[in-house]
Formats: sequence, structure tokens, C-alpha cells
Amino acid sequence: MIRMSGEDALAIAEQVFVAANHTKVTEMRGYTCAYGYIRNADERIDDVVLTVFRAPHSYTGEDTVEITCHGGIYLTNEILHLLLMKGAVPAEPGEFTKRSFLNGKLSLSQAEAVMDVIEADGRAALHQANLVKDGRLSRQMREVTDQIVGILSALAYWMDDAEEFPPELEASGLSAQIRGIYEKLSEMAEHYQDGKILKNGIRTVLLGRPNAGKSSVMNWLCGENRSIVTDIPGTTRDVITESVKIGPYLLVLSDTAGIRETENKIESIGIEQAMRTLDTADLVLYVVDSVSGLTPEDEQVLTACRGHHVLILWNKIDLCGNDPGEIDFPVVQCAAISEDSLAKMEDALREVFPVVSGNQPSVINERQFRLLSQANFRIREAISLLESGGELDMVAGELEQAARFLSEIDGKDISRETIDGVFSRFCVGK
Amino acid sequence: MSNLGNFDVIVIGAGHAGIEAAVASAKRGCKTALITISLDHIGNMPCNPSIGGSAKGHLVREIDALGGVMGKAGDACCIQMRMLNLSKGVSVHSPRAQADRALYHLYTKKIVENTPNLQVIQAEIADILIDENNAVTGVVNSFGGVYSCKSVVICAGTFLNGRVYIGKKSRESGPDACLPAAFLSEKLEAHGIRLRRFKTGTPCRVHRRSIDYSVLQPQYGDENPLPFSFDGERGSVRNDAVCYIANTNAQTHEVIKNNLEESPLYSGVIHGIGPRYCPSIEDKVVRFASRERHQIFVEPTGIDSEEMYLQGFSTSLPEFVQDQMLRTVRGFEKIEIMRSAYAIEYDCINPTVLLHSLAFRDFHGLYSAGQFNGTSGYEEAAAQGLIAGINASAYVLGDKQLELPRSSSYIGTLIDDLVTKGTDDPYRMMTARSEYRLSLRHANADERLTPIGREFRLIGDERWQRFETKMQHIYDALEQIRAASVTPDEVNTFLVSHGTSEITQKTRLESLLKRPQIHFQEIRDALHLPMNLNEIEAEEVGNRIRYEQYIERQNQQNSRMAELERIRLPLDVDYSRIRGLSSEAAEKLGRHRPEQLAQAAAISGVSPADISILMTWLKAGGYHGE
Repeated sequence: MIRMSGEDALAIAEQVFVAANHTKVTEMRGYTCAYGYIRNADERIDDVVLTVFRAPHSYTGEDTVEITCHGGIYLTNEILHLLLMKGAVPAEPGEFTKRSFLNGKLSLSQAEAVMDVIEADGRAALHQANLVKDGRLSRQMREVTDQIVGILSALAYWMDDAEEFPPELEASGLSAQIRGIYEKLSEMAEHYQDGKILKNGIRTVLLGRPNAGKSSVMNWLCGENRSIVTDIPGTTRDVITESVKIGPYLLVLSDTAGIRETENKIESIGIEQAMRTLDTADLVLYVVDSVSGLTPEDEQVLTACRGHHVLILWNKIDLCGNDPGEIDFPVVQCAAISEDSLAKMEDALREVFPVVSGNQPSVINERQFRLLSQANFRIREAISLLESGGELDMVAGELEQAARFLSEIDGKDISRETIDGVFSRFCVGK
Repeated sequence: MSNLGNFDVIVIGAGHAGIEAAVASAKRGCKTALITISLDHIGNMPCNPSIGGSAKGHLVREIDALGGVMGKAGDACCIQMRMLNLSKGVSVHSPRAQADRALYHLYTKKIVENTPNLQVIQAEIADILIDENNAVTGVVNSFGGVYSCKSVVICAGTFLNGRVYIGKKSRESGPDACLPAAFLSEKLEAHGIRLRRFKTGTPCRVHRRSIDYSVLQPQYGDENPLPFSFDGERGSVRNDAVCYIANTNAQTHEVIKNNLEESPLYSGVIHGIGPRYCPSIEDKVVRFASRERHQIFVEPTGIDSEEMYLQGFSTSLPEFVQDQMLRTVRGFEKIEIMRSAYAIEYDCINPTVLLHSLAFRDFHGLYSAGQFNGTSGYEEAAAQGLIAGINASAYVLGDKQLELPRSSSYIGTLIDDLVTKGTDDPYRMMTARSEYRLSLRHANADERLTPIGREFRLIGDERWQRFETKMQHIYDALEQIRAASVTPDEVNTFLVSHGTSEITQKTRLESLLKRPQIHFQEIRDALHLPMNLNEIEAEEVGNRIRYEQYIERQNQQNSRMAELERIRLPLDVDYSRIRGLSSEAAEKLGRHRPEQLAQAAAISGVSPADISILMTWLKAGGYHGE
């Protein structure tokens, strides 16, 4: 369940929720719920039940919306991400309780009862922060922050002390440096998306001609030991995702309804529809019957898959199938029943999603991603200011804010670091 | 012990901090005494004969905006005025004046002598009397005389156990051969106030005639410069002095390197911590060995004085080495040293024992300001002196204390840095220290602080009226601009000639003014917009619009911190009794005893969860429940 509290909670929910009976969230009365779905533009993300609490009759005393979705890390995060993009802000540890206090909803004794929980949350968050701190992305983030602080120190030195322009601030050089930072941050944001894939699962669709062996692949993948069924207790709906763990990867076989029952997927959905499925997928597992080899139909669908991560499962090699020959996509030769095939598939996945270096993928969380994106927005502002002839104090202002966003991740004191940088790198004092 | 008088507030020390503190206290209606070791050194400038500079100029403007002394004194004694950083963005423009040192002393002495309610006394203070409730009751001079009072402001500068070093030789001394304060340190420590040693240095003064100026680069004042004081008019200050720039060379550096063992700093004789921003010449040569030269600024110390100050050349090397190295500088071949460079070591506090009001946490009525608080610079001292003086008098009068938030001013930033983070070396103000830099321009210091100065009764009626008129003009103009639109026909020629793109449809004037190429005054004149603005007001209007969007964004980001700054924590909390706080947080909070949540959040080991708990605990009225 996702809970959102505050003045804009209803308005933000309104933007992403479509009620089955077309009620507007902002017009719903307190203590009522509505069935409907969450959408991102035209994409329908999940069917949900949305409950509205009107201030002051809620836990926090503010307008509150609770979205009950189908659960699972992936869907929940997707909805969360969407809400953040619409202007919601992630809660700090203990924030709901804090607000509840500030709005006079909880007494001291009640508060004390939840304190221990809040503390536990904080500790977990701290622990998590420390883990992330040791991660690769975080190290990169530190490097970028240091680089920004380096420029800030040079600017500070120049503004406060220097008569002569420090060489590291020559206009072209400065612009190039800031551009470099922009690219690095953008790359890290992309890595985050990769990291998210690792953490939340790779949205996977299984495609292939009839009789290519999709059913057996599915069954093989979802074998008892590997299958994690993300059913929601208390709901009567069908399972809509199956998560399968292969090495460090979590494949989320979404919208699997039908695959097990029918082998006629391609014929029935057509290429156009297949494309639509592709748009929401991170990975296409394309099953080819190695006995009949690659048919024109296969090639047609594969051409349509260009631009997506595709892994070809060259199936049924135990039945003396053909050699795959030259194909543009990575190929895993497998027999659906062989354990060896799993290892091969893991290797192939490493090629497609190379982010994973060890067992534990280094990932950042939603909050950190948000900070990173905000930082990069500032960096872009700094570049455009610099290029339109804006004053350096404003450029410095943007850079400083970028550094502050990044430093929120590890809590460094940007101002102090900047000033230490001035004294250690420059000969100050007239 | 004989009683020599009864006062509300006593200020110890008549340097730049003491003057502000005493005048503010007296103006606010407290019977005040300003006690100095030497009446002949009131408002002395024992180092640089200048006021202002990067970020320091902002401080002077803010002092003036609040109703302090330094801006007016700086203008009255100015002999050259420049606006620094003109090419670096409006927010870091900073005024700097060369001041006539002798005149500055006379001017400030006259000010304190002629302030009603203020008595000026020469004496060395040897003790502060504190009663069993930790409240101040008076001070004692070195001959046993007692001055009773309710509040004391310590502005001791570098006098406490002052020791001057030239080479490895040293002697007890205050700055400029004044007597040091030999007794007070011991008594302060007996009261439980912990002291530490800082050091600072000053370069030689040389005779004007001994320099060949023809080989140096001259530096003149600005044309028609802006004065420090918001009461002053452009071009109203004296501005005819000339400074010069000289350079050290390989030979100079050679002399220094060959004599490093003569330096008390390098040979370990001095233990005090020196200012990072103002290293001695031997420090620069050692640390930045690859640099071929360092600049020396030759500055007159006054119109009627032949002494020239050599900025950038502070040293604690022995006199014979000073002479030897100066003679290697081009233009200094026949140099005559009048006063040798020296380093001075002195006692000061770690300012984290103070509150944002500059009151000592552990005493009632005891305040301090200036170098004694671990800062450096006349402007930093004056800024603190003004706040400490206001608050010492407020304490006596039973009024509320003035605590300036970081977002309000460089003064607020300075004090918050000091009392929250402390300082490991003499603290100097820099624009980089403020996260609100873009909104803290020198030119809007009056808008930011004059209403506060008025509230604290330091701004008179006439000045207040002038301020209100100015603000009205600015607001009217801003409203007019926001309502105005321009057509392509009206403005495209102007836009193209100023190197920016044409517009294709009717456009709001305000959005054009956000383009860096467009200056408000120019477009106003080109469009013949009728506006009731003088030049200073027009400049302010242009800058406001130009910086608005950035300031707004800056404020948004800083607002969470500002919110935490507003939430007060009682000082006598037993953190170990607050359930849910981590034991590390409880221990550290107990040690630091923060005044506000922002301060608590700055302590390492205090997590956001701990802050939430404090917040809720406060909100739930936990304090009163204890």
C-alpha cells in the first residue's frame, strides 16, 4: 500500500488515478474508496483501490490518500515513481508520525509507543545508507561531488581573493568541465534505471512462434525452486506476475496470462500488438525452435524488436536442431529441461545487463535517484547560464545547489569542503 | 575594593567590536562604559589600513543598515574607494576602502566620546565579577577598582596574554606595542571559560620615499564610488590615494628558504593557530613552491603619514631577514623599514560556548565579540560587536534578543558558523560561506536589515523615512515593470544591438530583463519608460528582477533548513530521558546543547530520525513535562 499525506495529496492522486465510475479523487468524501486504475499517460499500470481520508480525520491529520495496489516491488515502485514525478516527496523516516504529532493527532504516550519503531526505521535507513555509501554508484557520485566542489573552490577563490583568473576557470575549460559532470550524472541516472531493473526485476515478455516451446520454457523458468509468486493475500484476483530468479537477476514475467494456455500468441496478437507489449518490457525472451530454425515470421518479429533487449532462446537443441548461424541478438542454446541452460542464460543476461559485477548489485534508491536528477537539472541550468553569458555568481549558485543535492546522499558539508578547497589549492591572501 | 561606578553594560576593549557594542548599547538607552587599555588606540588598525573587501564589504554595509558605526567611519576616513569583483556577478560585488588610520582613530574616539549614555575609561580589566547564580555583577581593574554592571561584553581582541614574535625572539605585548591584558585570562579560566591560542601576523610599514614607484603598477580608486553608508551619496568620499602592486621574485624566495629555521612558525616556537586565508610570505613560498612570484600591495596608511603598508607580506622572520628579502623586490632596493613585521599570539575562546545572541551559554549577562571569539578582521569584529551590544543592552532592559538567521545576512551567517560549527583557525568572512549568497547583495543590505535596526531602536526617524521612500520607489517600479509588455517593433532594434535575439510577439518586459545581455537602465531609457527612480534605486530594480528566479529557487531549497532554524530547543534538556533517541545522538546533543533544531541536525551522529523525534517531542510539549 502506498500512502500519501499533505495538502496536495488528493490533487496528485487525481493526476494518476482513473476511477471505474469516473469519480474525481478531489471530490471524494472522507472514508470512501474507489476502484480504478493507475495510469502513466496512456499506459495502464495497475488496477487499484484508492481510499480517501479528509483532514483532520486521518492518521496525520492531513488530507491522505491510500493506494492499495497489487503489491510486489516492481509495481509498487512504478506507482511510487509516478507519484514522485507528479510532485510527491518521499517521506523521511518517521515523517507520518511526525506530522501526526505536529497536527495534534497523537499524544505523548501514543508517540512514545511508536518511537521505537521510528528509531528502527532510522537505523535501517542509516544501515542502508552506509551500504550504498560503499557502492560503486555512490563512489561515482562522490567523485562528481568532489569535482563540483573543486570548481566551486576555484570560483570562491576567484571571487573572494584573486586578481588573476585561475587557469582552471578559463571559460572554455569551465564549460567543458561542467558538461563532463552533466554527462556523468546522466550516465549514473541511466545506471540507476539498470540498477532498478536489478532490484525490482526485469520486466520480461516471452515471445515465439507456435510450438517453439514457450510453454515448456515458462514451466522450466517457473520451476518450483525458482518461482517467487507475488500473490497478494486477501485479494481474489489472479496472479499477474511471476518472478524468477536467475543468478543475481530477477525476471518479472508480466502479463503471463495466456502464455501457458495457448501457443498462438503471435498469430493472435500480431506484430503491432507485440510491439505494444514490447514498449513496457525490459527484455524479450524470444523462443526459437532450433529444429525448424529461424523462419521469415521469426525474422519479421525480431526486426520489430530492434532497439529492445532481446535474448534468443535457441530451444530444443537436445533434439539435434540446427545451428543458429548469424543472428544480431545474443543467443542462448538450450534445452528447456536442462539445468545447464540456466547457467547459460545467466551468462547471456550478464551481457545484456552488464551492470552486475558481483553478487550484490549496487543500486541507489528512489530518493537518491531523485536527488541525482535534481542535481543534474541544476548542472544543466549552470551550462545554459554559462552559455548565455550569465554571471559567474549565478553559475556558482547552481553548482552549489547541485552539490548540495548530491551531498544529501552522504551528508557532507559542501560549504566547509569548498572553503577547505580554497585554502589547500590556492595561494590566498594578498 | 573601591567602587568606581555603576553601569548597565560594560564593554571591555575599544577596538572595532567594542566601539559598535558600546555605541549600540548606549543608543538603546543603557548606561554604558567602554573600558580600554589605551585611549590612544581606540579604533586602532594595527594591521591593514583598510575597511571592507570581498564579503567584508558586505558586512560593513550590513552594519550600516542596522545602524552601526563602521560604515560611516569608513566613509569619513576613506582615502581610496573601490568596488571589488565588478566582473564576477552582482552578488559578490563588494566595496573596499583604503582608510586613513590616524583619522580613523580620532573619528571613532570622537564618536564614543560624544555618545550620550556612554562613558569612556582607560583601565586594564583584570577580572569579571560573577555571582552565585552565574550572573555578571561587575568588572575589576588591575588596581582593584570595581565597576558594577549587569552585563559585560568582552571585546579583548588580541590583547589577552598577547605575545609578539619577531624571529625567535618574543615578548609579552598587545598589538602596536600596547600593553597586553595580563590578568584577565587566568580569571576567565577560573570562571570555567576555556581558552585557546590563536596567532595572527602583520607586515612591515616602510617609508613612502624609499620606494621607486615608477617600476610598480599603480591602482586608483573607482570613479564616482559608492560609499559604505546608505546615508551617503555616490562620489561623496575622499578618493585620491594611490596604491601600488609589487612582486616578489626567485631571489626573494631564495632569501626566505635560506632563513626558514629563523621563523618561529617553522621552528615550532609558536603554537597558536594562524589564519589560513592570510598566510605569511614564508608560508606561501613553502606551500606554493611552484609559483614564481607573489603580489605585494603597497598601501598608504594615511594622508598625513609617510608609512606605507605592505599587504601580502606578513612574516615572522627576524628583522634582518625582513630587510634582506624586501631589498630583492624590484622598486624596494632602498627600502626603509619603519615598523617591523611581527606575529602575535593571544588567548581566545572556542565560540561554540556562545549562543546566537553571542551570550555565553553558562552565564547570565556575559557576551563576547571579535577576535576573542576566534575571528579575524575589523569587519567581522564590528559585526559581532554590534549584535553583542544590542543583546547585552536587551538583557539589561528585559527585551528580546536579536538573533539573525543565516538567510538574513552575512552577519547571521558569520555568527551561526561560529556558534554552531566553531572554528579551527581565525575565521574570515567569505562569500562562499553563505548558501544565500545570491540574495545577500551589498546593495540590498538596507532592505534586509534596516527594519530590524529600526525595531531595535538604532535607526532614527529621518533615516527611516528615507528608507521607506526608497523602498516605495523600488516596489512601484517593480509593479510597473511586471504589468508592462513590449512589442517587437518597440524593442527589436534594441535587442539586436545588445547581442540578444529578437522577439516575435508581444512579450512581458520582465522576461526580457532576465536575459543577461539586457540591463534595466538601458532598456528603460531606450523605451522611455517614465519611472520615479534615482540611479541607486534603478540599479536595485534591475538586479532584483535579474536575480529573482535564482533566489526563489535557492530559497526553496534552503527552506527546510530555515524551518529547522526556527524551532528552538531548550538548553537544559536531559536528552538521555527522551525515548527513542539513539544513545549516540543523546550523548552528543547533551554535549553540544544546540539552541535550535538546525544546529542539532548539523551535529554528526544525529540522524534525521533523531530530528523527527526531537520535533515531535517538542510539539508534544515534552519539555514542560520533564
